[in-house]
Amino acid sequence: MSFEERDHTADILMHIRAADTIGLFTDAGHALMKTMYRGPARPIEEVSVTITGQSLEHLLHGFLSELLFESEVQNIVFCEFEFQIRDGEVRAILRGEPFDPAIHGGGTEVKGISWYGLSIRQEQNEYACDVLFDV
Amino acid sequence: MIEGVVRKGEYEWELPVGFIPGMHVPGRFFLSDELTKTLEEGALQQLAHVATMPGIIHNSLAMPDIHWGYGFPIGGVAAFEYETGVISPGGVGFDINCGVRLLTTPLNPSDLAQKKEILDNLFDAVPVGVGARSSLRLSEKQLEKMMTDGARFAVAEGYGNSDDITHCEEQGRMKEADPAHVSRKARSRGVPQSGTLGAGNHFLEIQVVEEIYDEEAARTFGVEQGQVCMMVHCGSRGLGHQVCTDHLQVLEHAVSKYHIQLPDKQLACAPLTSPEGKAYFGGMAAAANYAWANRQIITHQIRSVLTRMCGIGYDDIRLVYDVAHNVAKIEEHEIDGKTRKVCVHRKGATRAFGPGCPDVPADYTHVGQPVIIPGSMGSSSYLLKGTDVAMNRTFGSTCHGAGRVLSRSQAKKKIQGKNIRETLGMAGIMVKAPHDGAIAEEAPDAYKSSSEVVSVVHNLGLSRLVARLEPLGVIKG
Repeated sequence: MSFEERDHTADILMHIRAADTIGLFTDAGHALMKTMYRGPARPIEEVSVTITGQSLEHLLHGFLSELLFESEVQNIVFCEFEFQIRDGEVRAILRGEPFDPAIHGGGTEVKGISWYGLSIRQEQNEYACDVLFDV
Repeated sequence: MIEGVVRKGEYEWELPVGFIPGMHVPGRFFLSDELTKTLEEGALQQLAHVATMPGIIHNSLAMPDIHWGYGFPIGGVAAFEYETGVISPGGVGFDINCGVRLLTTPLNPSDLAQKKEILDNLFDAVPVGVGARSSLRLSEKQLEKMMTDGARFAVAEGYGNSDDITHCEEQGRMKEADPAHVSRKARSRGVPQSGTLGAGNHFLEIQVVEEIYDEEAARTFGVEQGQVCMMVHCGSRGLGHQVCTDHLQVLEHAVSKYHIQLPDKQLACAPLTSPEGKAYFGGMAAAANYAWANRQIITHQIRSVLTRMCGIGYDDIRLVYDVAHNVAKIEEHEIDGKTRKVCVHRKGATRAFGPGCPDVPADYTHVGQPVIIPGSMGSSSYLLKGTDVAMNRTFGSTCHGAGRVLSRSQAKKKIQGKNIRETLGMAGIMVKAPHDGAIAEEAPDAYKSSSEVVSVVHNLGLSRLVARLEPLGVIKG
């Protein structure tokens, strides 16, 4: 996993780097889950989602918004992600386990995924982006 | 001070037109010299960005709790012409109708010998923190009523009394609510969370009235020195967050459809009279109503605990008032000598209507609307009253709280939750939270001084001090 929290007064700003777009989406997913929950999770339940969007940034924003929604509504802490990313579409399989406050409690409630500074850059041999979670 | 900012008075500063290209009006913000030390350049950029939006009237405004937010700065206020202006989720925030309410009790601190047990019972009665679920099982029909009727729905279901309704801003219900613009996704987030507090800076506090500044207003609001009060701070939960997310997608397209030039994508908006603008407003108002009902249900949970444990009557616990501090409203204001219909966005700002305004409850109208300003954990909260000055200068608006100065990660690095719990405990303030991390993130040092913020709006007359409340026990989400 390659993400780190950077300072932002009001919200949670994550800097994410990966070798390819699938890695970037995977690490962004982990960054969101690590913000919301603590402790380990096992990949024992599975949810599939499909997101469409006009740009890679729209797809990442859409994926994270969907992950937040599924996690909150299904009450699942996701720990594994599998992607198929094509032009204008992401298909993802999310795996995790039901939220248990004794194991996963202690995180921060995320209200939404911000568009602040959300731009995916190709830097030398890797992809990088900043994502802000509104908390 | 940041280059280009012009000082206009002891507490007033201006961003002149031209501070950034495309500004239609100046930016104006209110800060003491002390508070300028924590002013972020990013927040001023956001204030300037708002000044470029179509139909903005007079000024892009920010209160002394200004800090960096989503789209608008937190503490931002802007009014837009109804016919030519726009509405933007960036001027409301993800947590639609995040707000605060104050309840009085007939108790004094010496009646709280069982304070720990009371706090434990409140913690059990009000679900808090990430992943917390309501014990209520709302049907589809009940959720629809909650979004249409707001606090009235909760009272009709047995969670309160009729006085509660009259003592809420908008009487706890925006009539423009249109649940047709609340998606299935938003509804599915809303069903399991009715009557839950949430996490982050949301809280439930046992407080005591420590000081009265305005005897007449305090008497009118039913507040007296030494009285135990309860304060609730929360919003529209996942339902409101999803309404914001859903409509941002639509409004992003509306920006190009209506040829709106914006310096920041986070200000996505649509004309107030457009189908997209009306849809967001209807959905936002439905989420606002959900939030009022949510705080009303929590009020019932508090009353149930206190009546059981303290031997007081249900109706002895009285709602002073309930204010929204993240919302957009259609209001009429006197502008350049004429009464005009405008859309006022308050993003981390509180309505502060003065004496005689028709929207102020009849029993408070000679004093003005109660304004409730929560402090950060362990610090003072304040009760103020709305003024004519606010009506004339800020579209009837004032500050909403303390405003952060430390990021959550900085706060956690610098401050240990356990230490804060102990320090506050020594000061007689008990803290209960699902985890110590939640306490560290929201530690008093992570925020500006609520006293300094409130003194600026008091000195400017944007609202006037009525009473100071100090915490005795805190439940953090």
